[in-house]
Amino acid sequence: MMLWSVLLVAILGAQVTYFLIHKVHMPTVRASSASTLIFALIVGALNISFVGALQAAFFGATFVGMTDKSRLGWKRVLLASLIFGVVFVFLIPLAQGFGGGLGAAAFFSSSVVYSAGKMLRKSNY
Amino acid sequence: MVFSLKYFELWILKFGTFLLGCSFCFFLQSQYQLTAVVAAALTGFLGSFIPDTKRIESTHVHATIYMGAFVAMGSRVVNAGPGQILLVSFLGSSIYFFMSPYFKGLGGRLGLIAFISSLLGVAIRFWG
Repeated sequence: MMLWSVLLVAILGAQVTYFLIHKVHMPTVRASSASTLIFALIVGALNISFVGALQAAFFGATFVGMTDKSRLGWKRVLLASLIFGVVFVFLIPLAQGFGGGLGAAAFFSSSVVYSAGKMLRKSNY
Repeated sequence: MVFSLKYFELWILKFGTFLLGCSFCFFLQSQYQLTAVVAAALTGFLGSFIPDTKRIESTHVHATIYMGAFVAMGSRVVNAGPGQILLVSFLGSSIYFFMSPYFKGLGGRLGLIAFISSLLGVAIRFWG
């Protein structure tokens, strides 16, 4: 249940941020922080036991959504956010107490998708 | 990169804004009992309204404030006191200053730098 919720929230966080940056032309930091604040308010009002985890997952996913258009398109961002969701559930607890763990996981996810895309393009030549 | 007054000034600005973001996020968490995520997002949101002048854009003020906020999400750094926050801000702004061009455009680079500086800060304090 939690894994699916996190994956869903991760996709939502990344896509909303990507949309706000590239379609609404909002500054990257504002797109990430504003969407997180709104999401946190909505989820905070619901009676769910793992609200903190969902807020953190959304926040981390917005970092994936901060990726530049020249690096990843929206489909690849979606894939990166799915990878982020899995990394979040299994690895983030190990980084408890250190700031930036969410961002590091987001960077890892975007890098994996970007590098894989680059390798596939190369192998087609 | 040739060391010059211009670069030093740029680094000082990055360091100052990093420290500001970190302190403000910590302040929000301790004073208003906000969760780490909400405090960091609010810090970044307020920081993004700093006017986008040419100078501010070249310093990446919004990004460094956001990065500082990520560092303050870590309990191991903020619980260790002001000295640790200063050390991590110094490390984070320096790493961002030198490494930023290599990570350009990839999501999560700010968080990664915050994570590396948090880890380094704790390691230096532990073994230093």
